Amino acid sequence: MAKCWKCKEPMVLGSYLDRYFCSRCGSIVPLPAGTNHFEVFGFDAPACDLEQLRERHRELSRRLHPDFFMTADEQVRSASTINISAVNDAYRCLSDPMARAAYWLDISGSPLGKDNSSVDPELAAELFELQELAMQMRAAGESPSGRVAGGAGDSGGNSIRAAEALDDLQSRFDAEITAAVALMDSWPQAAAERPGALYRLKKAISRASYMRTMIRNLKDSLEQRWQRSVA
Amino acid sequence: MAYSDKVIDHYENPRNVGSFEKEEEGVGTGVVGAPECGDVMKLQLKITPKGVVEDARFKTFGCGSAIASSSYITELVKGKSVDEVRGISNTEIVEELSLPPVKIHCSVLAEDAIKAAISDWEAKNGGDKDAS
Repeated sequence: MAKCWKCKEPMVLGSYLDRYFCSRCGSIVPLPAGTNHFEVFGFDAPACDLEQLRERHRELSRRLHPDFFMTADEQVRSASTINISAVNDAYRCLSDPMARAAYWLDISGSPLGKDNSSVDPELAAELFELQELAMQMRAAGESPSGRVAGGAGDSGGNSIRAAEALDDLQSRFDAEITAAVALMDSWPQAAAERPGALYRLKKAISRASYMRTMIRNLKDSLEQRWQRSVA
Repeated sequence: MAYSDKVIDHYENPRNVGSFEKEEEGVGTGVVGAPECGDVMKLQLKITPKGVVEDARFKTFGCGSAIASSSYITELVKGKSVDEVRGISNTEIVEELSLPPVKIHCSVLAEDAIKAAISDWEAKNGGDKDAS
């Protein structure tokens, strides 16, 4: 068990705060190198309650505020810097479900991009079709006839189709993320079930990632149209 | 991050965009994705009975480097034998387009697309690459 660097007594990890401050002498303790983002907030990886995350981040930011350590010795100041940056890095990652999933896959030895280049053909075909729609809209926006609403280059149907596709894609993206979060929050305890769970998580996040690219493309195309119609 | 001139050229004037009929004889199709960045690439190779790539088409959605990488490989593969094409590695793409380290996965995606298209073609030809 790790010992406090000040009082030399074994550290007792009761609450998440005990990683930062010795529960016996109250001294700040630098987080050990290699502490993962989940451990930073005392979560049982890959679970993470967002409400608790925000609360703990707020509390730690307050307690680790540099103002408290301005006059402290070099060692203590350095510990506070190490801790605050670990807290902020972990917060950025865990507050974004996709980043959290990718991080969990990484530390589980099964990175998102590893042996994972196959794409569900149906989803790919659908996304390529939407890409064509987005490109048509962009081309129409660049041509003089397209700048006139209802002009030859602007079949008004395109923007309606794009808006509908965007809604549909957005709700399916949300569903993938919800499923990924639910999976992480109730991660199987049995070792035998874990490879399957990692695979499902990887696939859900991959689909979400491809959808996200297309959501951005459709939004860009729609916004361009919107800018044009108010110009 | 600045794109190199070659990336910008391929991005603005992509070569060989489009597709062949998937079922057409001699056409191998590879669809691959890079989930870290959400890019998807479809590469089709039209291969003669003698195993020479005579034409290529691609569609890609994603970042400029992914588009440039796929556009570049459609030019690179033309006239090459299947074996030569199979040997193309992503480092060739990285060097030609001067891709920065953060965009190396785009070139890997292009290499994966080539391999997927060739395996598809081989599967259609009963796994025998010399089949006519």
